[in-house]
Amino acid sequence: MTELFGIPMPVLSGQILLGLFNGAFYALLSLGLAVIFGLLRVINFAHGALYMMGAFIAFLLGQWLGLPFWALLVVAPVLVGVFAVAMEKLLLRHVYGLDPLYGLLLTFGVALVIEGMAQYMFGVAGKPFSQPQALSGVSMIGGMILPHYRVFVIVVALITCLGTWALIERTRLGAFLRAATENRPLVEAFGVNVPVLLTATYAFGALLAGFAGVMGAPVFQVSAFMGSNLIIIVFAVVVIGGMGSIGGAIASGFLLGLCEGLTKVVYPEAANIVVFAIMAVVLFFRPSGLFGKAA
Amino acid sequence: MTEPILQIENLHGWYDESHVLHGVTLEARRGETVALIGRNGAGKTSTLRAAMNLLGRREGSIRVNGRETIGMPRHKVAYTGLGYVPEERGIFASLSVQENLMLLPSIGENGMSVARIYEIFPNLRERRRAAAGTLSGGEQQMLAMARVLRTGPQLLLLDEPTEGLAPVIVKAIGSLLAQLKADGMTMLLVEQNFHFARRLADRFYLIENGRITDHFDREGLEAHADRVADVVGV
Ligand SMILES: Nc1ncnc2c1ncn2[C@@H]1O[C@H](COP(=O)(O)OP(=O)(O)OP(=O)(O)O)[C@@H](O)[C@H]1O
Ligand SMILES: [Mg+2]
Repeated sequence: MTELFGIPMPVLSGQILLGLFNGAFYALLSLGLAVIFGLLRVINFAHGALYMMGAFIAFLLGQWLGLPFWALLVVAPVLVGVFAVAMEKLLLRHVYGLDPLYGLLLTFGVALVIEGMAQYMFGVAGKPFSQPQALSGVSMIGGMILPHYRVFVIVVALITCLGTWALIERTRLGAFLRAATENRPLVEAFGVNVPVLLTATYAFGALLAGFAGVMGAPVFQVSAFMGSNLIIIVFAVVVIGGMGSIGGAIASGFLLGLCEGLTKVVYPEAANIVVFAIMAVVLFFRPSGLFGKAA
Repeated sequence: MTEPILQIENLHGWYDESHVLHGVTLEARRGETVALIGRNGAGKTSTLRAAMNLLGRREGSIRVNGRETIGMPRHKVAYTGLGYVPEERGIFASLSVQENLMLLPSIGENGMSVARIYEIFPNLRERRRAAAGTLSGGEQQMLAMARVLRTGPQLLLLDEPTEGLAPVIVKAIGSLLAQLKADGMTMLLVEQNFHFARRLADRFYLIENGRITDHFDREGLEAHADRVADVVGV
């Protein structure tokens, strides 16, 4: 079979792969947002900036120290996590319990500062960042073109998402997190160090964003505003999945990437807005999102 | 034997701006069951919440096992030996029964084993994989008690453990508490159900408008019958 609904198979499969590849970033980022929102009740507007930070740290460490991609994939997200620890302890901590607007404004402000600094230091032009040598090839399977790096990103993102899901849904640490999401003061009164849990959760969400940033660096341009372009779509993904739903964030991330990819085949003009159109429809029929619990 | 395990002195407490505890003073000695009795809104729950550092602001002194807990971070208070069973049960609805049971960190040596807990509460064993939010009111109360017994507390703070429950379950809870008492557990019991409290308690405190207005032991019960009737409306 070389065609499906009049569309050549290689075109279709190429867009499916591209859709899943974009979906991998949506999933990693919306997962972090959902975890942070679930526990901290903070809408983390700095998420796109943390993603960009991951890419820039990888770029710089690659330039200065010549670290290989595999090392950058570990070191850069950890450094983003360290930054997030400081940010949570110095700033975010003070807005807990206040109107959610404060958290939103604070993280938005931090995002502007981070992006402004990146722009000041590196200008607006994108920085080149090459793929790891080992993954630069392409395979052909049954007429399908499979760029190795894209397949790698999809698989790694999927494993990371499922691992995070298992950590939250299946371990005692995850049970602390879920319980604290329901009733933070009580979990604390039972003897769990909730302030540390909050810091760790924010850092973990940021680490996921930084990780996505490093994986995006070879494909998207490394630039100060690479995150702010992406994060708008990711917020739509989170809204569609349902705020605070872990599985929902992962599933809707990949699904919406896929929808976008397929729209490019069927009606390319709509590809840029399809996510927002879906968001509008979902909000109309299910205001709490596809996987969210009705309030 | 007579050193108080819980000693609350001149405790004041606030929710935001509203001052609800106006100098509560009470104590519980090791092995004692103490009942705190008062009308709706008198400050019973607030007193227990203050002991767990769950009130907005507190002043005065709360000593548990000789350690001052005012000024202690909230997540450290339980380790002085407190097991808290809140009025609203505080079950984590999205967690399974078993996860609720295993969630709380151990705070003492003599925690009840899970096997023993399931022996006492066969319902919880049967429903251990169910979301705790699907339990009946009685089962949630059992779970709220079971999970703190697992942690090995020296002092139980029980806020209306029989509220809204069917008579058979009230009876079951009564015999469990009697057993715990016989084993030497110290308990501070808040109860509206005075008939339930009088069977368990060694001493009684009356609380009105955030103040302790009377206290007496079992022998003094008759003499204070009018005061008690006035406060609990029997
Ligand atoms: N979250 C809150 N915010 C503000 N005021 C509160 C809050 N909870 C209780 N209060 C007030 O504090 C006072 C004491 O309430 P508390 O819950 O301690 O009473 P209680 O003796 O436990 O009553 P009940 O028998 O109804 O449980 C009441 O006047 C009540 O209205
Ligand atoms: Mg009460």
